Amino acid sequence: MRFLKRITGQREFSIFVIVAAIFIIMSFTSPYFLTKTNIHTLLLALSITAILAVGMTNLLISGGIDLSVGSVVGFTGIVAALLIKKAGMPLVLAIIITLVLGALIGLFNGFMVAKVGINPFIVTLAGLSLFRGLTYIVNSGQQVAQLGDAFNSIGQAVFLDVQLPIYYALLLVIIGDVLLRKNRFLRQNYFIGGNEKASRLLGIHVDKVKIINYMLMSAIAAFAGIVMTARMGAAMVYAGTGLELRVITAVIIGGASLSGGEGSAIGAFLGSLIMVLTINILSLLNVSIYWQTFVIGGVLLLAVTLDTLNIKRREKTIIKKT
Amino acid sequence: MSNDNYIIRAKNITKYFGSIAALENVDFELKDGEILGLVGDNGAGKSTLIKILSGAELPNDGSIEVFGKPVSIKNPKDAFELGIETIYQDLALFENLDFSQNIFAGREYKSEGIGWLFGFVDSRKMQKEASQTIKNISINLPLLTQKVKQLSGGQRQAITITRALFWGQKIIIMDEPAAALGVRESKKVLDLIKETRKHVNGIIIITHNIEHIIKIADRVIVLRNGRRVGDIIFKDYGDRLDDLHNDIVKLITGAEIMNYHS
Repeated sequence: MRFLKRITGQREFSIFVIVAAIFIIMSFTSPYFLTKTNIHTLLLALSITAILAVGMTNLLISGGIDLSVGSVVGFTGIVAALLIKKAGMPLVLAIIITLVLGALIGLFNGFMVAKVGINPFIVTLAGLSLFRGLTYIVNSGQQVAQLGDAFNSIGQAVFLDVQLPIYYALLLVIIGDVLLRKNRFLRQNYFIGGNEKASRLLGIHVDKVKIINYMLMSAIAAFAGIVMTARMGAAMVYAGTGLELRVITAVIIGGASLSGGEGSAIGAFLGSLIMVLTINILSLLNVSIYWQTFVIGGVLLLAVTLDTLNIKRREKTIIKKT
Repeated sequence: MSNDNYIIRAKNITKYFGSIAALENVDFELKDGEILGLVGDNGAGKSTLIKILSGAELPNDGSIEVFGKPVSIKNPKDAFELGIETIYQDLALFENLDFSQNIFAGREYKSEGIGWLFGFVDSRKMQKEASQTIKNISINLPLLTQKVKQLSGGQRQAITITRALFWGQKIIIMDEPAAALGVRESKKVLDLIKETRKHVNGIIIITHNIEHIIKIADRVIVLRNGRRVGDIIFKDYGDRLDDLHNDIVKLITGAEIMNYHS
């Protein structure tokens, strides 16, 4: 009974109930919803969002944020494609170089935030434009296609009737969740996001942890870039556009707070599921693509509003108690 | 060591911020078993002195002895290892975490066995030991799994003190321990400090609240404009608490010295 209470009291549980409710309602509303094709589409869309959401939730816990992820996905995606197609590199080497490139982009973001001291919103907003610009520059705005079956299989191969990307996402969510709860290094994010000055007084290397968070985020974005390119069989210059908003919305729905100190990888996964379901439903109900963008903005605003109201309510109860 | 059993003895502490002297040749001592008040107006140098003792600032000049040994306190970790715990007003706790996570923040127990390979922490062991400590020092906390943000001001101070005691700290420095608390909560915190005295060698309290300091301390050191201007032992006053109060205020504001000159 106590166990049951503990589970139902968690935020993740309420999200799970919402997801289940959407599933049940949709299976009655649309005959296509539970078809194999649609579930596959759903899972694929979910995989990229969820992969990025793990890195983003880690960042938000520490009080950071990254608006450049969508552009980094696009940029690293095209770089990986160019390394294979134009430079003729072996697959593994191209992947490693792309992941390292991602980590270096994160090093840049993290350095600007932690060492130079610029607000992460501004640093990564600049990054959003910088890396999208580079995506166009590296191949003069042209897409890169015909990357070979070996590369494409990274995003398209099927295991037990499910495409590989969803396994990557699940694996990353599980590892991320365990590490965030138990790993000494990553748990420091909860301290930093909760009370940065106190963390410094405890001797936590705040700047180092922050920089590593951004490196993890961008390396994960590079991985997502590779998977997305492989899945589509081509690197498009617009790949990943707007993804940052979807991911941040998902993570906030999943319990992370813009004020830091809160969040979990499982929550981020469930938040991604809600985000992807919302978009899927709109498609199934034949709502135009223009409205979908509008709805994502609305959901983000709603999630952030609820988060802000929640912070305000907490502050009020603290004042009352002291 | 002298007969007085000093547990902290600092001499000629001087600290400049640019060309401004925050502290000038300040002597400071804490005796064994003592609750010492450190008082003074804003900018008198109280915080700077405490930061030097807790390793958050380095002095430009002066020497410090802790438990009779000359030491240099270069960072918060040095202070912690010497047995000095500083409880800052707003910086003490992580509100997003629970009691045992706060006790072990930054000093977690590592898992043994396979978990160790992945850098895991041993949450169960930490929870167990934290709840044991709180029982030993007769402090009441409701649910130990509650996040700190759901606790009252008095309960929060109880956690900060438990943390210091858990880590075997011998000297506790408290910055405005009862600031921004209601009357009832303040009283609880003062009682808690009296209880804490039984478990440590000495307590230093920085405060603006003279009422509070008279209730719990044995002695105050008064700073003004970066200099030590007075040292008042409460015992000398007996029941004359009003005189004690007035004398402290005079030292803080400098009224007494002005009288001498006029």
